[in-house]
Amino acid sequence: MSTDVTVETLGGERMKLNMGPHHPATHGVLRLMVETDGEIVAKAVPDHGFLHRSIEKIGECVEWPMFVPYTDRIDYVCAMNANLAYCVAVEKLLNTDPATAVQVPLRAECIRIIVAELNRISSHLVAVGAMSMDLGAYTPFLHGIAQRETVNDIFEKLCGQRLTYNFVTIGGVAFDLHKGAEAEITAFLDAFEKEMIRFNKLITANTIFRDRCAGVAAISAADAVAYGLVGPNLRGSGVDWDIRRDEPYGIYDRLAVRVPVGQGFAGRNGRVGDCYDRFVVRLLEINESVRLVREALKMLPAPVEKKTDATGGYQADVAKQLRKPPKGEVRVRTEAPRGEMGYVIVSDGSKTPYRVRCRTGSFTACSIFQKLMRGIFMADIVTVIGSFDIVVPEIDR
Amino acid sequence: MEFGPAVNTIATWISGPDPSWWAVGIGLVAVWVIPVLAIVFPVAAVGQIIERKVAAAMQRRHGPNTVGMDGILRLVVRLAFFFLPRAAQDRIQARITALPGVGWTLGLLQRSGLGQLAADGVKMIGKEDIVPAGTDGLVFRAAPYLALVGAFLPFAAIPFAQNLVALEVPVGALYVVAASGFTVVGLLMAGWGSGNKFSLLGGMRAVAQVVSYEIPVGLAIAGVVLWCGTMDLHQIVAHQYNGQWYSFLGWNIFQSPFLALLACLLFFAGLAECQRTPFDMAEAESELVSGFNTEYSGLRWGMFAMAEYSEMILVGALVSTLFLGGYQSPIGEPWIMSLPGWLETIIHAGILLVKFTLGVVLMVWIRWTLPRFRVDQVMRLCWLTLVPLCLLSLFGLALTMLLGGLAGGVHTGPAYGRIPGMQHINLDALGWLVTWVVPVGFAAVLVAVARRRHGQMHPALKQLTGGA
Amino acid sequence: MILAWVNGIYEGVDAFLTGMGTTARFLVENVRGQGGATAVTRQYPQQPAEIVGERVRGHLFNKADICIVCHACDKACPVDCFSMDGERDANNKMRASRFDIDLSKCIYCGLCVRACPTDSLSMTTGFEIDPHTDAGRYLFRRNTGQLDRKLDAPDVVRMAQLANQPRESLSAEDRAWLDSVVDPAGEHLIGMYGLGYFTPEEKAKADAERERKKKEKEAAAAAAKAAKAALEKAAAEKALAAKEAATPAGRPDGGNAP
Repeated sequence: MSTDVTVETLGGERMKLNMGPHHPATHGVLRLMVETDGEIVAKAVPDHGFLHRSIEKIGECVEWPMFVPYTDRIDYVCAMNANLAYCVAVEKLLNTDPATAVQVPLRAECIRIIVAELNRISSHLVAVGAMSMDLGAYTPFLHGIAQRETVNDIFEKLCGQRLTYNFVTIGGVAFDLHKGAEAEITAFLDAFEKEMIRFNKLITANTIFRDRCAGVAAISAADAVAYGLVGPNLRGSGVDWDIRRDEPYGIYDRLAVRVPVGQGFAGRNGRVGDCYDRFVVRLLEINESVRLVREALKMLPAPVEKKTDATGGYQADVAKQLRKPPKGEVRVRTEAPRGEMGYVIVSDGSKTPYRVRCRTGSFTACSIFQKLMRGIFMADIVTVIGSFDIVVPEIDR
Repeated sequence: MEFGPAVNTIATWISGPDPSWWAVGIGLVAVWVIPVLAIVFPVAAVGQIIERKVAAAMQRRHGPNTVGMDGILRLVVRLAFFFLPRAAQDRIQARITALPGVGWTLGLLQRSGLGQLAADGVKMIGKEDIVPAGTDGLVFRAAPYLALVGAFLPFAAIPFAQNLVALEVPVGALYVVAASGFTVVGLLMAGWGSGNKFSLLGGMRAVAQVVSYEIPVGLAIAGVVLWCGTMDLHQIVAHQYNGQWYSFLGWNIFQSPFLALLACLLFFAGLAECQRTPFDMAEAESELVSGFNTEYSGLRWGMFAMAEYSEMILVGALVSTLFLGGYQSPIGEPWIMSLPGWLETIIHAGILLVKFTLGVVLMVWIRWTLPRFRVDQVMRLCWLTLVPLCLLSLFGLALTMLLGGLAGGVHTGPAYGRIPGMQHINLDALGWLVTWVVPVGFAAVLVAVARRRHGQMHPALKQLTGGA
Repeated sequence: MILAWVNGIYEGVDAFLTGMGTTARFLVENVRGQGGATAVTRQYPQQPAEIVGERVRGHLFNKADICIVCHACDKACPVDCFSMDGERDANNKMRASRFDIDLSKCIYCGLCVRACPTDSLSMTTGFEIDPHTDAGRYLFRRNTGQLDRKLDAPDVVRMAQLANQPRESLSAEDRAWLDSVVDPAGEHLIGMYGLGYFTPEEKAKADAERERKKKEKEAAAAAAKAAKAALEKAAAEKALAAKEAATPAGRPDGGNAP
């Protein structure tokens, strides 16, 4: 129960309030045009486009492999997953013609899973940390960021960058795992699980936090599907849908992906699909990712000298294919931390794409804001934004 | 107007047996303003550094540790030896730094962040005092002063030591609550005068919250008044003296579980009164940008910050005075009383300083632990939890006193300093045990039943928190 | 209802105490440095970031003596930050006469490095661009005379090491070498190791400088050529005159032709 006041019972005089684009809780440059009656929000319209950089248009101008660094910038919080989505799409395009077919080495597939899931962990850490910071708890955020830094250290050793990795390439990955990577990752996971328990004690189990999220902006399963919510936001509403399990790409079909869904975790005051469910689903997904990384590490084949080797190599040779890819159109969707990241790629057989269209989770999440932000408190606006874990460059691209 | 004996003594000393108003003014300055400036002001300033250091330690950071006193030392040397050339001044500074202990002290000041404190102060004074267009000029400008007045007036009635109390009025407790109400006017004026919708919302929230939380504060103080039979803060302090070497057992907080509960309630209601997390509705950084002080800068902003920290100290001092024996030491008083008067005053003031600094540290600790409430939850907490608990405690306290009186536990306590002995509910060990065991046991049973009925936790959450 | 109320209070107190205990443990661990839980932040720039791993993508660096100006990096670059010219050297091998990397455009993606066939292009571990640090102050200024100076990898390492130390602690030799490579007072704010330019104005200035030098060189070469040609002409004329003087008059072949 968030409020007994409904929009219909509000007074006629409304105050217009512009939240953002420079506001501490709008996660970048999202702007909300809010109409309030005192503390109660009557209407909130998201306004985006402040971070539009024409990335899709750039995609038509650069060659196939040159677009990979740009995918880093579409969602810089989980750049590995963004790289992966585009590369999987291009590989699918190449595979439409047997003459240009590409076989990604098994080791590369395993490394992809490892880095994607590690990046999902670090991305969710930002999500849950930022949400708890929006609700006034600063300490959990910094502890989440400290753990994320460890992941970034691993990635820096792996590919040399901490944020925009450009690591996954078409046909494999850019580098093999560095020396001692397996031990490092395992050590991180062990320490991380212990740290997360303390994190959860500090914020997830906190009554104030739970009561602030419980029952706020609950989305029914039907609404979630109708508004095109994806990823944890969809699963928070209790819809059991995960691309990694239901439409597997890479070698996700060989891994047992368990999908946590929202069940009204907040208890008495909670409802399925409220902000607390979305928050807890992310935390459960972190645990799931930890397990997947461990599984992928077990599956990892031994490295061999030849980098194009079908098992132990890490990068298939695709330079020739990319100069003259098959004509056609492919659609691929992958499960990024912020939900489905889908690509539609149209090729006219030249060395640059004819059209690159990217579909991201944050954009569809914005569509439901207007419906949710009615009759809630001013303070709940930041809870809702935080619970959807939007990343503004992903909305605007 | 009744002033403390020290004020009267000074005034009489200056201008004879019937002191004129200016002599009383000098006495007030000596007994009220100087202690406030000497004790509260520095602690309020250092409180900001404590806050940043504690937050940093909890968040695996360093906190302020870079800015040192070198610049200030240089300034002093430049001013003191202005007639010498630059190089000679630098040599003198180097020699001063090289003196035994000086370098070490400077390093300590730098690492502990106190250099940052000085730098912040200078920055705050030096910054431009911006009055944005669209503000309500006078209201905007006057607001910080009112906030500061509200934070400093109540200290007049707080006894810092036996003779260091400016106002020894029979309604001291009431006066403290009333005087601290000035702050809310300041906050509302700041919210309105800023001409900013976020500020306005913050100001309105502040009013709603502070006015509501005056109720539990008042009720909690009423409990102590009921127990001690007086509203004079100094007499309340004296009432808590049991004349033994284990004098901490005489403190109000150990007298009854209801008084202990009231102490906690007063502390939390006070936390809400000074707008600290988890009750910082009015500032609510992530919602209202910075609430009522969004548009303030420089010294005016500094006044708000000072008012906030002074209010924290006030809450700490009030809880100490009402429940923790005020300026008394926990290990008996005779050893202090036998000292010369000035030393006794310093030791007493120091003990109170330690007590309220601990309160401030606790508030800082809470701030960096808990998330923020929502507006309706703050109100619900006040009216549906704190106020009923206060009323329950008052009722329980009254019952304890009634039964204690019937059991013949009323005695005249020891005299304390110049304050004569007062009537105490002074039970023997068995009575004291009963006073504690019965209410606590009842509460424990109630909680156990309630947990069995309502205390289910989702298994997924149990898994996330390590099966706890 | 009362039980729910009591339960609510209990939960609140419980969560409060748990939270306070957790943060207290964080505090104690941080202060005592237990379990690797000391402060994770770094005191930059006094305590510069640790370089983890060898694959760090710092600034681009081209080893000019093995670069064959094949333009592979140029083609792989998504942001067009390269501009280069080449010329044949004495062994008829392509060598870079100009290799500019616009570091203000570079997005540090590393695609050029992966494309480089001779491994001449690499990314350094130095990433400092803050002119307030020692390294940044040295590495980003050069005077006109130093502009075209190319460095080998060991030199780059040496320069980074020297620039990171206080200047007073360097030996005279090191200091002289460092001064020959970089100049804190130099007028060109340039990319790492003199391989890139920051603003268009600076680039234009450097280009103009290079053009001027090239023209001077060309002019000098042309003058030398002209002088040589004149000399040769004079010599030829002299030789001809001598021949003419040696051969008898009439047909030069002595009338043997049919």
